[in-house]
Amino acid sequence: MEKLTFKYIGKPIPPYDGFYKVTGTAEYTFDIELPGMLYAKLVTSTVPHARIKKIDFSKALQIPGVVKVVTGKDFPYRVGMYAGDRDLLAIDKVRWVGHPVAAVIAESLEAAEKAIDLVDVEYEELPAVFDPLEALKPDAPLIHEKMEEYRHSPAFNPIPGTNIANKFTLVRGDVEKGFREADVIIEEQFYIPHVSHCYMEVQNVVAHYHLDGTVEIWTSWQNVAPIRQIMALSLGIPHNKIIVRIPYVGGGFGGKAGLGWEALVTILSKEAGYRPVKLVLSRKEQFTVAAVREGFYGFAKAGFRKDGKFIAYDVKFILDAGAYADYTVNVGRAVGYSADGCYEIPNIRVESLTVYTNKIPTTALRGFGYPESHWVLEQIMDRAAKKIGIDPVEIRRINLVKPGISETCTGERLREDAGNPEKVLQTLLEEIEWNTPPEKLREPWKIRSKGLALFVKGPAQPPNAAASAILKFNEDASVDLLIATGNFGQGTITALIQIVAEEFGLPLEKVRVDYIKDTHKSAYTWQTVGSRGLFTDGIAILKAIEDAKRQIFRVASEVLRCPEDHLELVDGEVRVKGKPWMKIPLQDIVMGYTYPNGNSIGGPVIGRGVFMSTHTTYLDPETGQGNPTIFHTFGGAAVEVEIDLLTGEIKVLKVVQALDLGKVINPLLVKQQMNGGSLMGLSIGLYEQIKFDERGWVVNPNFTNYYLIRIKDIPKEVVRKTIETPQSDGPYGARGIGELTMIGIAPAIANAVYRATGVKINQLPMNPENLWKALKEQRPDLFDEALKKFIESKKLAEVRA
Amino acid sequence: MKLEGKIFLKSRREDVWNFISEPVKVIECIPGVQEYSVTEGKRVTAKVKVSIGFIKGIFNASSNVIEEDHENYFAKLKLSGSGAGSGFDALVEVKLNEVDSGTELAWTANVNVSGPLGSLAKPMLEGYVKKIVNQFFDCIKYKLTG
Amino acid sequence: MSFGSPYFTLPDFTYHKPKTLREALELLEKYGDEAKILAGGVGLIAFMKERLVSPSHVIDIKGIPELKKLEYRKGEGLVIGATVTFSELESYQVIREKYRALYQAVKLASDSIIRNRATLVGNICEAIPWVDGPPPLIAYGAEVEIKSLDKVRRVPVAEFIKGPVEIDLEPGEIVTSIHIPDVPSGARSGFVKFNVGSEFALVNLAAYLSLNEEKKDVRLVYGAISPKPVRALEAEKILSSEGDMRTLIISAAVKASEELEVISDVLASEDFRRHLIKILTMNLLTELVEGG
Repeated sequence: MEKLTFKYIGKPIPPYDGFYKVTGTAEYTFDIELPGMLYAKLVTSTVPHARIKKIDFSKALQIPGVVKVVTGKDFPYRVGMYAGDRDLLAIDKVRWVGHPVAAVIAESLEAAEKAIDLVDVEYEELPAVFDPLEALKPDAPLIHEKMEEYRHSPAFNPIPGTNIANKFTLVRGDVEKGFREADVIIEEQFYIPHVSHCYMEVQNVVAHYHLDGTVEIWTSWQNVAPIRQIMALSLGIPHNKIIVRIPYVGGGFGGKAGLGWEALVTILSKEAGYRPVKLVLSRKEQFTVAAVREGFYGFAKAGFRKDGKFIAYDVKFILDAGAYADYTVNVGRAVGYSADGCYEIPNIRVESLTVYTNKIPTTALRGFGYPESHWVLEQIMDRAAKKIGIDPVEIRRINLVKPGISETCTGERLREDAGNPEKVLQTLLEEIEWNTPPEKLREPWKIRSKGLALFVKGPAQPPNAAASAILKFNEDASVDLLIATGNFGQGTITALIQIVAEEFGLPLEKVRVDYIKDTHKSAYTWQTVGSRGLFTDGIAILKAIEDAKRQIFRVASEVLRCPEDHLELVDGEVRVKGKPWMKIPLQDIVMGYTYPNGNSIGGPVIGRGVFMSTHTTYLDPETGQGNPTIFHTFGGAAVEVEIDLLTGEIKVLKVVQALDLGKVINPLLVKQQMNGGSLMGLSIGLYEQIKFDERGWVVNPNFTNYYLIRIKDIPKEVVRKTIETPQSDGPYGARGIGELTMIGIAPAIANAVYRATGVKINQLPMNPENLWKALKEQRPDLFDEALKKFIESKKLAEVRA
Repeated sequence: MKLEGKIFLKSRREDVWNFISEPVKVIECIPGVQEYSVTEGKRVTAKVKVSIGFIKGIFNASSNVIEEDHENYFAKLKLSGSGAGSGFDALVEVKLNEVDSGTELAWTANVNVSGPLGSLAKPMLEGYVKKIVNQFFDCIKYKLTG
Repeated sequence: MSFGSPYFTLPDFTYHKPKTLREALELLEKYGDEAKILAGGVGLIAFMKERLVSPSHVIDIKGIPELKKLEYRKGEGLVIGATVTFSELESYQVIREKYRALYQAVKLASDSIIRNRATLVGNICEAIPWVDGPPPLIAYGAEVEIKSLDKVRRVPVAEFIKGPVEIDLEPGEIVTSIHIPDVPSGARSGFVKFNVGSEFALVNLAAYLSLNEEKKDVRLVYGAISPKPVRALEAEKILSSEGDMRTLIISAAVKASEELEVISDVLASEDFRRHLIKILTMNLLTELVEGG
């Protein structure tokens, strides 16, 4: 690590799996076809909240090819990662429109799809509640009656007898005192609708329950370990009898974390006579049956002194978690402890409630609560700046945390090498040319404006979330790296290969990572989520490399008759430092060294390494104090927008993203992450929204009516800047990037609009109709003026004689 | 979507009440009904063929009596069902009033339709529902009075 | 029964691929209500996947040469056969030059993958409110030609589309072509739509102005705002009145935004659509007036 020049680290190495993807040879779960495999299809609820009185599937069984129909009452299992509140198929009652009530297993997908139409379910409807604010009222219908029986993680605080799946509280300082001292108080309400992950590959699983009790699973998921862990705990199958395999995955974005359909399909395989079963969700089911990102309310009150100092923040978040909040309780926790963003706020009180409603279940989505907390906070900063009369940049400078000195709202002192937020801000200003006023347009009903937002994020994970790596050498000194880090498009594995190649001085193609992640064969890692993969698994790999090097040097030291600390590994050879002619090629050591007479020493080299965070803690249940995370990546986004005051259209012309990544391991992949995140941020900021009707049905469960960003919407310019303030315990000083690029875009756009028009858009998406409505309500004068200018410039006014 | 209407029947109020209290008699008047069964008192399930424009589908529908007040000749029903990827429910209230030489049947229906039918054919649904309801009452009228 | 239509597969059907129109009509005659015509399939397959239609017989007409007809004759106008795709229309020079509204609608419709597949006749027969084909056709006064084994009839597109998913087509009949009258020289037409953040137009508009003759002929046809495309007759009247067209645009746009019946749906509210009607009308008319 003391090396100053690198062969691979910091170089734009193309992704290792690109070849397989562009040639169509990459194997996905969907491609898995096993002998005797059956197909499953779900029968789902048409009502939002009801008791199941009867399920009659006698007619479905008459369809040729149908093997079996199973219902929830046969499998009274509860599963889950955090809240533990999910069933496999509805037991006794359904909780949302789309809730699976039965599964048909058939010889073909055609037969299964025909049969689901013939399953008659009789419901006794119960009052339903769709809005979390309504669900919090004392007389609201109760969605989970037996919450106290759920096996939830100790980090959470569900309140049985209510619809509150988790209540997170954080208190620091004295907010009341803070507000008394404040000169300016901002009070606002914010809203974010449900959105879908829209990964290309829909969720799909193949499971085979073998006669000997072994379970084999292939799944399009992010991580193998939690599937095994949750299934073992909930279904009572021993860990080592569950083999979970994940081949190539077409996108995850958090929507494939925790547990998916694996437990259900496993049970189906057993029920079908120990034959393998495949379940593939349709895109429509992705919008109605699979989990999506929660809906979100933020109620904020912020107090500032007239010198710009942020001194009191009282904020309440309410998450519309839908029928199951298994993963969302942790989003509720993360949104809570990230409320302060990258600012020092001495007095802060946060309450974050994750609330059940009769809507589609929810889960993690790239950013994990941070886009939500920053949507609120970063707009408050601009509102306060305007009220105080200072520049949005100035107010941020005044309040920005200082690594080494500042403490976050959880009371964690930021490490000195945590990053350089000041430099992030400076980079944004330079790249967006903050002080150059935007161009005035020839179409005067359109205006241009610039806005920015800062952010910070770390992985939201349990304090003991570990990672490990095993590397073993082959005869030619090529390396097999056995790791479980999920590979669903981020590029982490390419970076990890670079690390191994760098450290052993091997060509990249000599390091191989199997594309299949396997609980049986890959070293354990807790999960690949929260932008943690490179950091945690990178550290484990560096330790495994160290371990392997120790074994290699021990042998080389004997052979070369030289102390171990005089040896180095260069270009696949062990050399004596300063005497490069004294060397042994690696392949002569990695299977043991053999002297000319046949005597041998050493043996096959296997390196092992782990990552375990030693300083993270649970948060205090009353005050939210503690150390929740392993690193903080600081970043910011700035945009230049063009607003059409007549139609409400916001066109984003330029995006700047700046991130302090500690060390860029692979600039090409970082660039791609920043592009992808920028577009996803734009898409969710400007267009995306799952809409529900008054009966709880999703009305736009397809890409025709759920609009996703398209090529024509992409800004002309996306500027990607990285800053490298190395963190001493990160691999080469690196920190995570994956989710960061999503967080700042939406608030930066909203701030740009506010700056130019004074119009507050507290609600996503910022589509034309929403902006038009906001304009009409808040600045009707602006609209009238724009229309007047249009008429004037087109000479449409009536000329009176 | 809220709909309401009144029809005049040349029968005694008691006869009308008795007739419409019989699920089997009523259900045969539903246009497009293909098969049906009556379970648990007055719960009715039926398969109904629906065609709106060129959209054609079979709906599985059911009806439950929520309130039956003979004294005031008032009844409340909940209808629900699904088909063609869509779902609907309707809360129907019926009240019989004695008028000169017969009975006035006053009804209201609050209908919700979800799914592609709801979004695609929404503008047509009102006309369609009205048409169905009229056919339905014509049939009842015919069966009661010949 | 499940929520929505979560299917990958299509309902069972028998596939037919006739080689002549007569053969197709005989199949239609034989299977009547149970048969559906497949051209590009963009509408039909989607409807079948949703189980909104489940025909037992699907008759693919792409193998019938005469339905590929695309022909312009001076004085008579343009004939567009039932299997002519959007992409083929886009690259047909006459349309680009003479039928600007149609050209722009065709060019702006969906994306190139769909345009390579979708047919204009299918676009009309689908009869869903948000598509781009019908407004320009109605503005030009186009008619569809409908054939069955024993008769041929012509119906104006404006009447052929009766409402969402409802068209004037009997079992046994097939739409063979669209006939658009020739455009008098000096006439102008244009098309505009607003689809920011939406796959479909929230509002689209085709305008046709013929100012050469003694009487002004102005037609404004709006799509996506109501169950079927509609003309803004009052606004047209304003534009046809005496005076410089330019000075009439604002009042016509305001009138159009008020006079029509407008729906709220998943794409936009009624209020926003009325607003867009005003803005789009102003924009398009200004462009047309300036263009001449």
